[in-house]
Amino acid sequence: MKTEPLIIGDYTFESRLFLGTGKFGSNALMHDAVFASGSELVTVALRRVRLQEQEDEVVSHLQIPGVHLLPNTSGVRTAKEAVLAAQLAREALQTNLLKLEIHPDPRYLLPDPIETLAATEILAKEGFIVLPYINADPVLCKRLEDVGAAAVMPLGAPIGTNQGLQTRAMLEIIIEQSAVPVVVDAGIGAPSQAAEAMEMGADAVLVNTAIAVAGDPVAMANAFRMATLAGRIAFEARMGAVSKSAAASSPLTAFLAQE
Amino acid sequence: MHIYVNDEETPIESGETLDSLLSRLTSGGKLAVAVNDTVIRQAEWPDYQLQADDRVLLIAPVQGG
Repeated sequence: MKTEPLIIGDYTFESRLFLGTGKFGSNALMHDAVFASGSELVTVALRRVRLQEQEDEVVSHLQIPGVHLLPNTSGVRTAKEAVLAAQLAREALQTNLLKLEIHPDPRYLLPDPIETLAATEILAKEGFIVLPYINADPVLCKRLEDVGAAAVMPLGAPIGTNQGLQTRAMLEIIIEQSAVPVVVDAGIGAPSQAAEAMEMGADAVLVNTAIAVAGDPVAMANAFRMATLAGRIAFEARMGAVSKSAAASSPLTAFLAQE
Repeated sequence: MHIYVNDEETPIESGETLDSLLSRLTSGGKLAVAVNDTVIRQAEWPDYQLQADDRVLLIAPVQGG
């Protein structure tokens, strides 16, 4: 079953599940999980080349038809560093897509809103399709939209925690107000949570740890594929209203008891 | 003379180009280069002459979320 396509910048996606490629046991496993997920947008990080070391190139394992790469700026601490990282990413991967993440604090990896806003403005002007990773702050999301973010990526919970949608109430406000796609990123730990985000009206979810560290990452990627799709179909089908008192779903005419 | 490649002191020959340096130090693949915090596009590598004490940053894509 098909759902409405998702458009970010000049890219169109049929799948609303984005994948991170960190923490997989091997590049082969990563490839198979990406394939099973049906994702068309997968993140990669950038790292300094280690001289005199033969490196297994990640990109060659991600050459899957229909799959685009989304480089991230993980590891930078300021807007200035992020701009250089973005320019390097564009050069290395020949893409304008960018997951902007600036998290100076190594314990909770929470994004710095001030540096992120500054970097988004600069990079959008330089022609990048900027997807900033941020806390679930509705005001910040609107400010990012104003300075040219192509989408916003609020967190459900800190990166890699599998805690689910801890920020649910704020995500609802962000989704209600946003004029750009909302991608719930970080913290999603179970397929049911991906479905929940999609039912709420999120435009996409980005999942990494929950798949990569699962006992069977390929099966889990498939589960996330189905859950994300189910959530989106439910959203497009418009769910029934929640009510406090019961509403009968069977006829209440008495036929066994005499009235 | 020498330069710094990812903070490692690296000897180079006078007039050596970025292209020559990269073919000595790396095994190919996707790569991006900045010299003194300015990105140098691949098309410019063959003509880009390194200067003493240049800070060369080499980055490559890796797994990440």
